[in-house]
Amino acid sequence: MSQYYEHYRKSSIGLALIDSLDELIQSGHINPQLAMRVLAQFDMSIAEALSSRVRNRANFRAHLDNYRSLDDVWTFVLSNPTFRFEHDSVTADKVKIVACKARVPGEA
Amino acid sequence: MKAVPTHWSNFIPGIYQDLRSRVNQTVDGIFMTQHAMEMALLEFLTIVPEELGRVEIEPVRKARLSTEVTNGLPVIISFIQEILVGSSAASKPKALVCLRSWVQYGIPFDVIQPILGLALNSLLDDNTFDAAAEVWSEIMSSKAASKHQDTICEGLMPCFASEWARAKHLESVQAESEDIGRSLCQLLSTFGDNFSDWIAAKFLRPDIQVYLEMMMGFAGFPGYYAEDETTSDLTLNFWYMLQESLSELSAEDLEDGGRESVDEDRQIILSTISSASSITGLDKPSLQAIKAASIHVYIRLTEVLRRKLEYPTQREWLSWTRDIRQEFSGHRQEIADTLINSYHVLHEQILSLLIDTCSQQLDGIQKASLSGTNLPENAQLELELVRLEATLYCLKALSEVVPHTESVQMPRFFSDQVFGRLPTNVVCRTRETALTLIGSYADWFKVHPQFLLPALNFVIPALEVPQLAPYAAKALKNICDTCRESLVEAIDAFMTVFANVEKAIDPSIKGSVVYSIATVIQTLPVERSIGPLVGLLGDIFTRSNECMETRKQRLEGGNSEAARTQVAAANGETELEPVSALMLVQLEFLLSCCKGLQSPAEDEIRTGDERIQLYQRISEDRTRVLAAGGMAVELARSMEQVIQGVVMLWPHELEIMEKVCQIVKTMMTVSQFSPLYLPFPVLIRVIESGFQQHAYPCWLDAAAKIVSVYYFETTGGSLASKLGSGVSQGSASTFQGSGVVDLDSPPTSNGVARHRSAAELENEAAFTHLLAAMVSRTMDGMQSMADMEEHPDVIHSFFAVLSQFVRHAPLAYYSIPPEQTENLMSFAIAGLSLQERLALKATLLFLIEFVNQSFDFPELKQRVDGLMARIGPQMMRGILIGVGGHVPRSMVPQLNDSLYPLIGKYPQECRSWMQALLAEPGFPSVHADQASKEKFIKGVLQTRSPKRFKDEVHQFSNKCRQLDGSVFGSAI
Repeated sequence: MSQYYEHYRKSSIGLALIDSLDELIQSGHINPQLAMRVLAQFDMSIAEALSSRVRNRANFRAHLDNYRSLDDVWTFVLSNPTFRFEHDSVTADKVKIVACKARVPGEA
Repeated sequence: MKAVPTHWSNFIPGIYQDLRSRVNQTVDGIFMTQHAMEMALLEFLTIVPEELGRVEIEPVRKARLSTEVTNGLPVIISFIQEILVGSSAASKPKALVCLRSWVQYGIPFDVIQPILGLALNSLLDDNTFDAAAEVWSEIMSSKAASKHQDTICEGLMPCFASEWARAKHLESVQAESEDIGRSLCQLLSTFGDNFSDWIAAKFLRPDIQVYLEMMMGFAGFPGYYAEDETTSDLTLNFWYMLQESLSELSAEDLEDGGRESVDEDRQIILSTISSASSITGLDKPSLQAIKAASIHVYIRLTEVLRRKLEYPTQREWLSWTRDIRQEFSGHRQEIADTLINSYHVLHEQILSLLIDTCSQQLDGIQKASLSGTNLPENAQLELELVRLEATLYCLKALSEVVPHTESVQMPRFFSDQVFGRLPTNVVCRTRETALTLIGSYADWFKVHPQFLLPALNFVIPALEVPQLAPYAAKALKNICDTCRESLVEAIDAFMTVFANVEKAIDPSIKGSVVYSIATVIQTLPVERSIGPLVGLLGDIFTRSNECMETRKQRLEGGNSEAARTQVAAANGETELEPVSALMLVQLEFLLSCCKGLQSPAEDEIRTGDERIQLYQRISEDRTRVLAAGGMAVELARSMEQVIQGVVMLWPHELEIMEKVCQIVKTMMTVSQFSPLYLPFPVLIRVIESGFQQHAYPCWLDAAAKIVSVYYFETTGGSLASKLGSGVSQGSASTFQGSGVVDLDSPPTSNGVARHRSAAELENEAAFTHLLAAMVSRTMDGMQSMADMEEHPDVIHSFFAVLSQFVRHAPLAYYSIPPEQTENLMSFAIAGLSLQERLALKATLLFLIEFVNQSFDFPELKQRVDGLMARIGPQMMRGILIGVGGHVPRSMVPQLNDSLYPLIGKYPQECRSWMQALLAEPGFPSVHADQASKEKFIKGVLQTRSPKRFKDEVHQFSNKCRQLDGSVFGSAI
């Protein structure tokens, strides 16, 4: 199976899925192998959904505290960012952006 | 693939020979022609690299498979070459698809080099163009492309500049046919995206100019994006890449002097990234010539993009589907980003260009207006307005990059000659964009306050027009927030204008307007702020009092029907009845005002001493201002009456109480004083009485904030100043028999503790009282696990406020009756069984906060240790049950965070608790055997490495959940 990023597993929706799969394993409805396949499908589907279905845009301004790049993974640590959406804006003390190379869904 | 090479060696040459040998023979009853053989073989050779990328075999076998493939490559390349030079037109596209598949697989560049010429020729043939374009897109995106940049670029440029390509480009643009041009545009864009450095370095070459011309044509592809075409979008990234490459050229050019202004970090970055000028070692005159030529290109691009921004007529726009409209609007954003790149090339010139365009368009509007300003009847006027809107949108986009100190072009724009002529007699999108533009230049206005008044004269009348009001309100908010100091002098005029339009402003917008004006009032000295505040809030207080009076009469009337706050809505649900709804609206305005009055310095970090001094100064200000009487007292009284009145009259109406809580929380500030802000003693009373009447979680949230904001300042500062140095002097504990802290007792240690004032002791008691009341009220309502499950929001807010007390007000926390504290801890341990994430997480965070508390003060330490000795075993049981599978796996990190400090602080106790608990059969899970339990105990008790500790908990949790050794167990 093609490889997809696994970092969305730690998002709220990813954690909720894992908890639900755990419950199904505990109750004997599925085995861990099937749960793993579901999770792999999640990795693929969330990547596809985020790349093709999200149309909203946001701009942000911040102070760039530091940045680094390792194995095609860029990390930016921002302080006091302001994210501006179409009708709203959100501020935070610190934000870390982890940017990975985009992959076309389905490609290795 | 799994059979190669063990069961199927030499598989590529083998199948190649086999199929070729069957030409003109009958295979399985079918006659195989030369063409059929070619197609079958190409199909096979196309699939092979795709499968190679997917195959999952062990590395040793994969290496052998790779060797097999490498040995077969000459056969494949020679076969593709044979077809491309042959006469069978039908097989050629298929051969190119096969070649693309191998390029995608990643075969070395030198292997395909012999057939690159053929692949180039294929670009000049309608039959093979699409397939060849895909091959080249793949080659250009490959890792090897940068190493062979010259080979690829010099090979492709003649094709791009050929008569054939130009004719194809022209035909697609003129015929507005995406079918013809899209592949070409895709190819040109991929080239530009990958080789922008090379293009920048050869910018003056005629073939590059032809290339840029074609890209420009595609950028301005005829029609509206999304509705008519989707090609123009493909070029946008290229213009950004090109600008970056051109700026790198400039950086080299300015090396001997111009870099002085570039900071050190940027110089390092510039020296490390590949620069286009390093490709050719261009001299200074060439660089200058490139710069001049690039300005010409980007000026043209600006005009092309400006046209693409134009909306269709309103009639056409309304005929589009929602998706298409969204896509078009999204595309405008993309263009805005591209324009920002143009600014980096053109700087002031782009502003000049756009402002000149504006001026011309305004002439056109003026002329068209002579035939009337009714848009549906005046097509020319609508067209002119659409054009002007696009230009204003460009200027708005550039606000991100235009320096706030720009003092040549933007003053020209905001002058009477341009800005003063913007249409104000028609309601249209152009005015919306103009309003957005004004808001986006708020920072610029701060440096150029002389232009504020004309801008506000444009914004404020628009507040009365429903279609424009949201844009006007946003612009006003940006300007007032940013330029508050500049507007102070004009506050009286501002209030007069507000009074004139107040009645006409829609309630949904008025809150934003009130906020905006309050931000300006915030900068005034307190005494001067009273008048404007009265003007701003007079009507709001009057209406609030009317609502409260009506409500009071209804309640006194004893008619339960009349006292209802909810009525059936048209959609079948319920909604607030009119008086309650009107009250809610007034509260919204008051909230906006309170928010606007908050100082920008609110979030500053201050030391303890600074906080106390600030609080004392504000208290003195309050006393002084209110002692003078007059309108300040009236304002303070009105606000208090509204807040307390609403809590008394609508205590069970969630929406209204939530709004009151928001106001109360906004008032909690130590940054500045306003007569509108209620003092701490009133606020804490309101919170307690509100919660006593109805235990809504919003009151708990307000309590959490009041502890974090006021406890330190109002009760005498740090624990050390209250309890002394913390070194035990063997004195009697201040915890008396009842367990309540004796706040009046003398300092316990070496005299460092100071005597607290009566007010401070009173405040300390108020916090303790608040906590005791909240604990009692909440736990009365939570008699069983079912109650806890049913009210996760209350549990969440309850434990959040307890966490705040443990962190900020431990004296108050340990001053509530001891049986209440112990019930509370049992309640928290019971909370570990909750499945609802919101409540469970707050429970765990509270336990983490509780376990992490560390006191040097013997009085508190003894109290905590005593409590832990009693509840420790249950707490450990709750945590282990959670780790053992009773709590969702995603919460195990939080369980880990509570277990780690617990073991760190009480290692001996934890050892015995854990041993006793884990000795129980089937605890915490039937899947955990004795060996794994022992390993877990040993692991967590012997390590102080947080990472190893976490691993041990994780492994044991997986074991208990039957996930040990599975990939799924390690999935997070």
